[in-house]
Amino acid sequence: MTTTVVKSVTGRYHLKIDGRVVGISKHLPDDWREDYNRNQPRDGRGRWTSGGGGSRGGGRGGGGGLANKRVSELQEIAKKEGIDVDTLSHKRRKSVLTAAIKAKRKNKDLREEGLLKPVKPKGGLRGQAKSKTKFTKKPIKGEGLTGDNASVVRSKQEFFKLYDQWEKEVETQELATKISNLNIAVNNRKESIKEAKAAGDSHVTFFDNVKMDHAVLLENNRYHRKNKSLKIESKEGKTIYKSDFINQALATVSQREDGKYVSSASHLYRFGTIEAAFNTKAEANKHAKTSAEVYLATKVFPIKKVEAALNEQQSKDIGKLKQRLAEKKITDFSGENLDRIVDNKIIHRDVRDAIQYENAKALAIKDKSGNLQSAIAYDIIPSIGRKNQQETALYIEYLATAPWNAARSSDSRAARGAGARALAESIKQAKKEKADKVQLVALEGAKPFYNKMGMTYRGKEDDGYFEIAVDSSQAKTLIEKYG
Amino acid sequence: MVNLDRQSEGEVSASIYPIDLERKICDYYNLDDESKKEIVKMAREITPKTNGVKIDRKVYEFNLNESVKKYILG
Repeated sequence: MTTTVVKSVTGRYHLKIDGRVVGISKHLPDDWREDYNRNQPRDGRGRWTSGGGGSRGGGRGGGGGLANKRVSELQEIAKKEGIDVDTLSHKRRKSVLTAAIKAKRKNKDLREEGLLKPVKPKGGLRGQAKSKTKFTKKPIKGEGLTGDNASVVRSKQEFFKLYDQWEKEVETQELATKISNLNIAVNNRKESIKEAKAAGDSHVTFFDNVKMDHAVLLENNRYHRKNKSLKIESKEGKTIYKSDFINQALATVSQREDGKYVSSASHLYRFGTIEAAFNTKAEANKHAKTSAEVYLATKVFPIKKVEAALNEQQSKDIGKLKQRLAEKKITDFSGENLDRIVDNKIIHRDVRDAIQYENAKALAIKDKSGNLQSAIAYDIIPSIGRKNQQETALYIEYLATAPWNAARSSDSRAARGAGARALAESIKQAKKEKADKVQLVALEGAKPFYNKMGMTYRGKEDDGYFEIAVDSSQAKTLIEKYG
Repeated sequence: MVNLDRQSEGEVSASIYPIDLERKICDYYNLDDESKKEIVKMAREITPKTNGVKIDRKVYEFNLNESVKKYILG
């Protein structure tokens, strides 16, 4: 039986016996979670199936959180959170209730999250002025890239030539990624400070795995100048280096069976420890002491100063990046827009890779000026969920719009209807290739778009796919409107 | 100000893999870009596709979490 203690990504300690987690604690060594039950039922894949132990946001099964609640229980929780359940788009759907509770707890707008019933504008039939519905974006109309305003590219060679335009936008997209990463890192650090404050600690340890700029924080961290002394303890033949203010062994020195001395110190950028062997005890002690000091200087910060430093970092570093992004004509720095930009980079590269390496077929839309506005990587497959064995579908593996369309930019190349035109062309292509349907899996944020296009959602509630029969009236309308 | 007149339809992306989920999980663990790439690659490789194209979102989510653990804890 081998027993190991591993520090998790959330900073908790996991006690493992033969590789299986049997205890979780915030502090070493005797504060194991009281509610942890090692006999808790698990499913075939070793996941907890009920009660306790769910990891926050980790998405594992069980967990005793909202996922385990019944609809009626979720409705009660929602009411307690101040949500009018009747206004939700689906008041008996667990996914909607859970999402609404989570959004409310994060002070997000339920309407913006798409969790409320649509509001119908009043009047309009008897000459009354229609009340204006607020749109965060312009509704799609049958214009933009329809008809002769755009043409279809099917040749892979031409697609790759045009694709270079998108690759040139990656630099801009990476700026958005940096802002997004910094925002997450700073917010996570602020969360750690809150936890440390609640626990009555004077210092906070950041276990970030992200390599963000430490300059501002280090400047404010006076530890390495003011207090160079470490607490040194001896226990069971080991020399342990600790600090006065955090109850954590930062480095240890012990003698190995072969006579060598091993210094084992907390790793700076990965979880766990880093080890080094020395011939003399003095050398090992020097290594351990230096490692512990560096750890304290770069990972442990006095709460009083670090908050101000973080705010400074947020305004300085993120401010600079935003300025650079604004120069690239992107001025919407909301989390949603940054996410859309980050996701777009991945999707357009997925389109390229599927066409280049996985033998998917290409279907792209270019405007009159020769700008690549959207692209699809597709394949003809036996349709998903088919009743008839012969039924085939044009399956859209990836659909990406141009980077300037995905970002809310004032780029002159941005055009409306890039996705709609690509979809209309895919239906035409499906007819040509004698496929019965067009099928695809949409990203969460794109589901309203495909609903609007007249596609039908099939399969599991949160894991389904969209489809449209090429001979359906919806397909005909779509082609007439956007083709 | 955002020029809404020129703006297109916003999110229209379709993908075999739920990249929004990939982002959310990697962000939760505060991972840098290099780590994200590795983890997503690992998870994509081990997730089976039905009909050659469709993945099970829950299986994929589980695999993403497992890949994160494997990557971080070694």
